[in-house]
Amino acid sequence: MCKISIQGLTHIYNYGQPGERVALQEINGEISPGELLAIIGPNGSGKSTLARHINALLLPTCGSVTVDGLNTADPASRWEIRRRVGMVLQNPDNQLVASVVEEEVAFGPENLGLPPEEVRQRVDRALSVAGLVEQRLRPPHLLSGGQKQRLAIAGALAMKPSCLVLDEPTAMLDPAGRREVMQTLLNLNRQDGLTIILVTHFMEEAVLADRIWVLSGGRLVMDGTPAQVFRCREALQKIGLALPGPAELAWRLRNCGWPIPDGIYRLEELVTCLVDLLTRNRSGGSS
Amino acid sequence: MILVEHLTHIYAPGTPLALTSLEDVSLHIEEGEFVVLAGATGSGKSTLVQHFNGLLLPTAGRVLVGGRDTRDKKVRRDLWRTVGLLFQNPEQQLFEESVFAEVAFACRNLGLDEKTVAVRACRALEMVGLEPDRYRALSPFALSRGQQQLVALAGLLAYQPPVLVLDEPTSGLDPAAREHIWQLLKKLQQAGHTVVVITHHMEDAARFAGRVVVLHRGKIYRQGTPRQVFSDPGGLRAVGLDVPMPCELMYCLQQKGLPVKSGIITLDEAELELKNLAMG
Ligand SMILES: Nc1ncnc2c1ncn2[C@@H]1O[C@H](COP(=O)(O)OP(=O)(O)OP(=O)(O)O)[C@@H](O)[C@H]1O
Ligand SMILES: Nc1ncnc2c1ncn2[C@@H]1O[C@H](COP(=O)(O)OP(=O)(O)OP(=O)(O)O)[C@@H](O)[C@H]1O
Ligand SMILES: [Mg+2]
Ligand SMILES: [Mg+2]
Repeated sequence: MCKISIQGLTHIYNYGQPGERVALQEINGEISPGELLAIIGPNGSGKSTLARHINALLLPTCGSVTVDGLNTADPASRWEIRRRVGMVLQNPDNQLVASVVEEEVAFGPENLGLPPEEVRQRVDRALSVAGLVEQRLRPPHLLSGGQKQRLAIAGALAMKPSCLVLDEPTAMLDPAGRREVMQTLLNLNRQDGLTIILVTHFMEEAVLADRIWVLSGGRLVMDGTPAQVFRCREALQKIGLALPGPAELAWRLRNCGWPIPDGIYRLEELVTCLVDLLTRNRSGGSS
Repeated sequence: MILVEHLTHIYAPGTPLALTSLEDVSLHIEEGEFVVLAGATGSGKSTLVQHFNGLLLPTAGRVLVGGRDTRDKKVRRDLWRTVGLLFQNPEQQLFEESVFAEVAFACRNLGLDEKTVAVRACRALEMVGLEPDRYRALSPFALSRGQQQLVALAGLLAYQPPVLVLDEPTSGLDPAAREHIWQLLKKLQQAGHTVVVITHHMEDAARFAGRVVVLHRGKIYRQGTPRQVFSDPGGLRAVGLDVPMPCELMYCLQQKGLPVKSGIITLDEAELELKNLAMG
């Protein structure tokens, strides 16, 4: 369980210095325990900046972020916050510390002071969930881009956090890997109650979340269910986002007068709806 | 333009960490082609393209660029003028203190005068969709990841090498920027550039590639036009890939007994086919 509360969060890089840049402005919101929240937004809108605030990698210029009531600005809470909130960074290279994949994954659990057999179990499980068993004895810095991304996920999972923040974890994965990772995240969320915050440019992934935050220019401009957010095609396009493919096709057909109901965002939904429409149409036409 | 003959690459050969990343790969990329390289994580895509500009050398076999063998040191020294390579990680590419210096870097190495360099650098920033005045003085390290990717790409576009080899150039881009970059690459190809792009986005491969080459565990698994390659969903899934969503949609409808045409791979084609179907 993990409850995150963000109040009046503003982040200014290089505050009061040359190169000052406002990256987040007055963000307010709460993330409930067990929730799967997707954060989407154009390049430079502040997604990574926001993600880093949640486990105290960055501290607010103004406002506050709390995790289960612990304030990220309080140095005494920082260790506990990082134990509860796992983080998969956007650039997986930055996270590497060990010389063998296995050790890399064991690093966190060992630092928690867990007994060796527990560490072993966690490492094996995390590697298998992340699909890296074959690479377990390779040096991490010599992995391919996608393999590094999987490694970062394994490392975070081995910590058994109660909340996981992932910054574009599937950006460099092949389609099968993307599907597997999303399925893993959904299982962890639905079965183990893990709170998940997922930053992504894949609208198909955002659709799977309970709720979506849309950032633009450092502000939280939309907060709603996938259905609520993806109803706003024009507003999303205006800031450089798009509808998931199936929703886009549904919109186009609807726009040509097809009686396609609202709320079609996934492939299966579109298939059901089209089969229904087209078979009715054909049997109607042939009689 | 690029001729790959029986290329095998082994990382750290003769050590316990030896790893064969490419095995007997032969491939011919013609001048002016638009080739998309796809394949599962670790299949050898990045390793292959790093042979195109001589960054990696064959363990066996050879690579010829414009007829010149990359194993020849003299050839290699000037290869960057012909083949511009964008790395998978922008961090690997960026090292200057300002966006402008970054984008101007290769142009300066070409020996162009400062005025031409400035014009080219600004134009390249505009091409990728970054306003020069807003970005030129910033440090590349104070940018978001997607912005860094665009700056690294601008650095290539500024010096306009005839062959553009891009390793996942859109992996961190928002949907609008992603579309913009693919359109831009298409335009560059039409203007005569040879374009080789690695991507995991099957929808984009379907729309923009002239030829798709699929790697699987260091070997060429399949190649052909997007329509040919995407005609075998089972085969692609077996190697970690997938067909584009519109393609998948059509297969699903077919399975439900609807008489949809096969060979549909883009959203526009799917829209048209559905309308035809509805007309009866
Ligand atoms: N270290 C830094 N110093 C100064 N400015 C920064 C720094 N890091 C990011 N910025 C700026 O803050 C803004 C938000 O950056 P952030 O990385 O949070 O964006 P993002 O939404 O994650 O983008 P992307 O989709 O490209 O990853 C950008 O305008 C960026 O230029
Ligand atoms: N510098 C290196 N030293 C040793 N092995 C390496 C090195 N770089 C890559 N490898 C290994 O070679 C294989 C091919 O890697 P490559 O980076 O070419 O894959 P890729 O197809 O680009 O994958 P991705 O889609 O994940 O980027 C992988 O098994 C990888 O672990
Ligand atoms: Mg980011
Ligand atoms: Mg790669």
